[in-house]
Amino acid sequence: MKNIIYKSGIIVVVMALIAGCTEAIDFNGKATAPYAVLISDNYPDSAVKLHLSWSRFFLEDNDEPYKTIDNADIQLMQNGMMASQTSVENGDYFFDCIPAEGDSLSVSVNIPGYERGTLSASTVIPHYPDIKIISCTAKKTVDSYGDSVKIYTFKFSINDPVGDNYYKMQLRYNTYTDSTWYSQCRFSCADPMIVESGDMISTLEGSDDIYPYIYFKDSYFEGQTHTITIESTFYSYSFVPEPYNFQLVFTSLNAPTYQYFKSIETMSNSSSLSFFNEPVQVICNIENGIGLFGGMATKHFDIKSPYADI
Amino acid sequence: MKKNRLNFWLLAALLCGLSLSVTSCKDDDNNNGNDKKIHGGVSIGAISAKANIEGPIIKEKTTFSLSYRRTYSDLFTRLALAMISARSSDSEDYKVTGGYHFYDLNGKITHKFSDRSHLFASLYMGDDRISARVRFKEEHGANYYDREYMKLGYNWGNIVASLRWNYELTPKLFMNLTGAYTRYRNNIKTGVEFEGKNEYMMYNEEMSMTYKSGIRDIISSADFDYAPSPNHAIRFGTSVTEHIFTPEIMSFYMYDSNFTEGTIDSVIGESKVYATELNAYIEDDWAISNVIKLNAGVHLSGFAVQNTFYPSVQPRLSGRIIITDDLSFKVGYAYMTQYMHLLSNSNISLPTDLWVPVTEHIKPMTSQQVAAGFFYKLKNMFDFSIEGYYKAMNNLLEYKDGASFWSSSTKWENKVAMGRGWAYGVEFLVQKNIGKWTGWIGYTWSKSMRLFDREGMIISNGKPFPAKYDRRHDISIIVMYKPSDKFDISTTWVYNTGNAVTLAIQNYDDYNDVYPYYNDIPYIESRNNYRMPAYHRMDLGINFHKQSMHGVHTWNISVYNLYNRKNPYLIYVGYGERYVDDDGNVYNNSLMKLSLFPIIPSFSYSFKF
Repeated sequence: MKNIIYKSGIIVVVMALIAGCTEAIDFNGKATAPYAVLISDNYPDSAVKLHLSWSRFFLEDNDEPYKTIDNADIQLMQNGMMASQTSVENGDYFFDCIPAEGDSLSVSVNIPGYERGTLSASTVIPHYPDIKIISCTAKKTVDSYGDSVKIYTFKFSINDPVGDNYYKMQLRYNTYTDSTWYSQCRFSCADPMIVESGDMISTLEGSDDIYPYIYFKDSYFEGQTHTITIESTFYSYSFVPEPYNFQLVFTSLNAPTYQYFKSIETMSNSSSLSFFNEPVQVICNIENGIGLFGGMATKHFDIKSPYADI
Repeated sequence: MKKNRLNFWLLAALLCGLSLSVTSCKDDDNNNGNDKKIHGGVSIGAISAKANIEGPIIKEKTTFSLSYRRTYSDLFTRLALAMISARSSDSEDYKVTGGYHFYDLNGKITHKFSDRSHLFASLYMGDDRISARVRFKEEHGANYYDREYMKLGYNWGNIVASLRWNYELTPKLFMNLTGAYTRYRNNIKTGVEFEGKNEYMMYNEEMSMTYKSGIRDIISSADFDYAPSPNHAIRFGTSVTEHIFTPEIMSFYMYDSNFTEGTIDSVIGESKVYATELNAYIEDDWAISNVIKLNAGVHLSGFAVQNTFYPSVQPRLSGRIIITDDLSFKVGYAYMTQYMHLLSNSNISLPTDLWVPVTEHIKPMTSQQVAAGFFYKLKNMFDFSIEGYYKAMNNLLEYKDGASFWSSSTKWENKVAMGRGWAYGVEFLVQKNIGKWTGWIGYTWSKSMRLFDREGMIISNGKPFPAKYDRRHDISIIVMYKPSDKFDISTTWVYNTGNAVTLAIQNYDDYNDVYPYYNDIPYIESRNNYRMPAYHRMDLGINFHKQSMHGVHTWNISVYNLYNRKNPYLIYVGYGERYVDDDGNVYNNSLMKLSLFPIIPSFSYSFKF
């Protein structure tokens, strides 16, 4: 379905491209000087790391790695107290700061010769998501092609704190009893409070309602305990061994982090029809720069497959 | 198959390129037809032909007028493509066909019951159509063949039919009762079919998609003109309109003979939205004195849709002061409400704009405008004017980031954001309407901005950005020279600032544990942050007339885009195409512009009788 839309869109664009003539033109826009890019995810109970690099003018873009910034003067504050930088290497700046849930972090970066000014940003580390696994059930059935199918249903509850909260949900699985290596698992979620939480969800175009991960917010269950049900389907012909362990990966995000990742998702999903899609701005929270000074808290919940010991 | 697809796209590209410059539009001719004698005219040109005829059905009682226009570029393209695709062998057959054309038809019948009573029936139909088809067939006996068929069709157009009765109730009071039907629709159809047989299997697959959008209106209205005294001209009236919107509906069909259980035949989107619009208005043209004239009015309206009713009171006021015999001053204010929104893609101009209704979630657009200007007549030969305006708009719609009319999985209401805008500017105009040399020069300086900062509807970080058609400078110069009835020449030059488009000026790497594979992320500072190169072109037209016993013959030579300006239709990044600018800077990629419609000369002959 997405293919035919994509091909039809390409037909119309190629029509114009071939019918007309093309030529290169001078760029007559504003300054082409690069932006400083600051990326820092920030998790509770994990040392803070920042990465600094330069952006690149779009006409100069190539396959070379982006240049890192190693000579910046960074001031990192945790709850108003200065943190110490421990090392810097290839644009990565390490600090002895290990934030806890609810901590406030702020950063100020001075880069010699950077004309746009001092980079600054602040963030609050969110609390770990409060999740209780209720059940994992499975049923065997046969699909319309006569192939054997197992449908796993997971039910869990989320205890949502008061205030605006943002989440990301993933499902993974492994196929061995003692493996720590997990494969990503596609799942479906029919809960309207999740799927229609007032914002565009992880796949804008051609979602087909199957997600490798899903972003949502608590618009419809703010401050309440809400039960979520998701399903994952495994086909016998897919040559994948039976899952042994599932792992629900649940992440709390603060607002700037949610907006940043959502905008990147939207950009990625719409790029296949770029002429017909409205352009997507990646929403950054860096003053005088680009990137993300984010905050997220991830918890992993192991769920044993009902068929694991069979 | 690859060759077929390339030719299919090539064909469709050529057709689309033609279509984008030539669109049908309603002929604004208010001609009721000559009530004494049959008159008409025929015009044949390189690209289009038109004919019109008018005259009495019953002398001095019933008249008719009929005009028809059609392009026939599709006939040429079909012929050319037939020649291209004539390469077939015993085992291979390859056919490409397609074309673009538009037509419009205007018809009117007028009947005079008496000096006080007239009936008018009119019909307008206009359509633009693009079609492209490629058929490929390869056969090697009964046990091996491959047939492919690809098609694309795109058409958009209008129908307007009306019946109006004009009656003089009293010498001071005139009435018009009107019933009308209008329909606008926009359809895209595309599909592929494969059929074949080889040593392993037989197959028959089909995929198609149809996209439809449109509006139908049924209108009934009563309008009155009342002149109680020489100083007052009062107009009032009321109307009811039933709207039937089809904002967007997509249907998909997919069939595979080897997997019949996987057949898809589905429809997505709202089939119809019904709405009722009520209007009532009154206005008075009041000549207060010889130098002061006032027009005051109010328009009351209401729109009922999806269990929601939107009322509106829209006052209008304008005044004119004659300062001297040659100099006048005009000022005006209007508050307006619009119950339909036009959704346009901001990146590319295509006839895919959607007309969508207000709903329980999408509010009507409102605007307030003030304008004032001076008008000066020089020696009854030149007219000068300078006018300024300011317009504030609320509840404007724009597509959200990443949204597209193509999206099948999201209702259109969820793809749009509501915000506001403002526009202001100054217009200068000088025109000459008398003598052998006539024409005008107009210059407008204007600015048009948008702001979308409502929660859940933020665009461009909630900061103001230029509207797509924010054209800072707009110049038009038209010069006509008519030394006699046998010859005239006219030339037009237009210039406007390039459209505002969105361009990611910087790319960066997202060194993120969450998205380790994302790099080269385009960073956009704001929406519509870049200006395309300016648009300008010159057109020339020369007419030679010859009067004969039966009528007037006219030969026309015209040139569109006389100096072959490559005006940009869209811009994009040409990755890997090295570019050196005027300063000698070397870049790995190029900023490219796509231009359509170079210099286009044409010739036509017309005859009027």
